[in-house]
Amino acid sequence: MSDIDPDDLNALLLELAPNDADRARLLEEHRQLEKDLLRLADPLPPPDFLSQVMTRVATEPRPVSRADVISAVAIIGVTLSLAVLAILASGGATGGFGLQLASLVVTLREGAVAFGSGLAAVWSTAALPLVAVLSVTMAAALAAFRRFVQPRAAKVVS
Amino acid sequence: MATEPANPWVEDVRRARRGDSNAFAALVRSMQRQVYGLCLRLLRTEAEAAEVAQETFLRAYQNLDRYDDARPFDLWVLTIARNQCLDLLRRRTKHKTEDVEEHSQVLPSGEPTLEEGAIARQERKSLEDAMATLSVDDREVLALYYVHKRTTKEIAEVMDVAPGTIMARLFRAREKLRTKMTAANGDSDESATRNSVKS
Repeated sequence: MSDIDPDDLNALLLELAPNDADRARLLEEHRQLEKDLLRLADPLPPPDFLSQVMTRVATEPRPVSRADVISAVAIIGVTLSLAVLAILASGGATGGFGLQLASLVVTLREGAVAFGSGLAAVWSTAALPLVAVLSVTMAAALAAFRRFVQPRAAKVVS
Repeated sequence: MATEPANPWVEDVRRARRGDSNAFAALVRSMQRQVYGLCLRLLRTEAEAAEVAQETFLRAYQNLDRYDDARPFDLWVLTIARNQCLDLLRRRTKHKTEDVEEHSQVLPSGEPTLEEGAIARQERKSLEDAMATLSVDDREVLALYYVHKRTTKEIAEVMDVAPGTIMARLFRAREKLRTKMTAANGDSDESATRNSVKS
């Protein structure tokens, strides 16, 4: 009978049958019941079960995993640490940092103005071809990016 | 003789983690009968069993990154299914459903061979009927051991109990089933005798 420990089995049988004859009969009935139970089988799921599961899998995306969150936090942490180290290594004093920041803002502003002037010059000379080229480039880049990041699970398996 | 690999699902799990839906579909296909069967035995209604089995696979997919490769994938999914069923049963005690279909009507019992015939089918139906009257814990342990052919260690893992207790649980569940079967047979014998006396 199954792979039950004989002592355990005897203890269980003793709870139910006081004498040897009853125990033997009970044991035999359990053996017969085990044979019948072993013939039972699981039912088949509905025919559209698989497609329904895959539809739900496609429509309900996976949440961000803990590993991804840990990676993101680690990357941000390392980047910030390196930035602080770079500042300390270059200027040393925190007062110098303020000056560097102000200088950076001024440089960025100048860069933005220069970029705007450049764009205006290009626009005035070749506006239409530029728009066309930029649009095609942007569309191709977006399509490639979408194809790259979209989970393949989004395709419904029928 | 060719032996089955210890973890046949490893490759599919790896591919499914990378977003390969075909790999996950293969995993679902290989386990859907077991999961749906367990849900049906625990919940006893087809609609709820299908819903919970679907939810189980969805949860499994969404938590694939948390699955420990060292564990058997099928046991992990069965554990999710069991927990989902128990959650629903707990909720069900508050909101009793009205459309309870008798699951024994829909549970097939093995593939009947020619020589088995109607008597064997009737016996199995009686067995399913008696099993359906047992408690959830008893139905679960019997289904996992006899229908799914799981080891006591695996059952203990799914049920989150000590492996040493499984055989005793099985014995007690079988004893309850035997008592129900004996009572049911006694009733049917009595009614048959009454009918023959009347006629």
